[in-house]
Amino acid sequence: MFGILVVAHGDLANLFLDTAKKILGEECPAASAFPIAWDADFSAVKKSLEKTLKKMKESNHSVLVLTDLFGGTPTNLAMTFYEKGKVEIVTGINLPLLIKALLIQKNGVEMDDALQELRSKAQEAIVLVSEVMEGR
Amino acid sequence: MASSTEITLKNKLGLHARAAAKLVNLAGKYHSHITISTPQLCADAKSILGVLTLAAGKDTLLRIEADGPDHGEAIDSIVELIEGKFGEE
Repeated sequence: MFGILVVAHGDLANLFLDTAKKILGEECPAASAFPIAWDADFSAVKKSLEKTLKKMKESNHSVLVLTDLFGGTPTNLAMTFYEKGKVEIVTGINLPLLIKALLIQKNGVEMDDALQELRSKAQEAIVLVSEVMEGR
Repeated sequence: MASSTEITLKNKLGLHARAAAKLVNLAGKYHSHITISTPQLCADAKSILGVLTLAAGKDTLLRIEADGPDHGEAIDSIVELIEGKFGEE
């Protein structure tokens, strides 16, 4: 099984994870949030993230890091720890993506097999309501 | 080895996120292939994102179909969940 780490600006990481857990009604013990405060010191946060990832790799073999914004600090920091098959990063998190990731994790699917599916499900979940309404 | 039924959603919030998760969890306990349909769309009852795309609000008529060894029990328990308003009200 892989661990899931949500890395995002401000309180977003905790909010995403809490919301997904609330919806699924589960504890999701192998998923954590790594909030990055607006005024955080870059090098201190980098060290702390490294430590968190190391711990997660030890207990879960590999880690799926979900970040909020490509080009933003959380993603830039996470990218410095990218390791093929060990620390994979998907950026542009949305709630459907996180829910799907938690379900895939629970079902014991390997992370490598899940990445493409995760991306497509998250993209499909962005819906123009006008198209749905007009299709009715 | 298949059965189906229709039921109207009576809970205030319809098939919202937590209700959908409960339904998907329940459906996942059965071996049968189960689908939930509105008059417009059809979704795999074991996929939360699929069930959410139904966007089924209060008073939507749902059709539940199950095909497999435990189709009867699957339908009964899903109907019970919906009739019980997902344990919310």
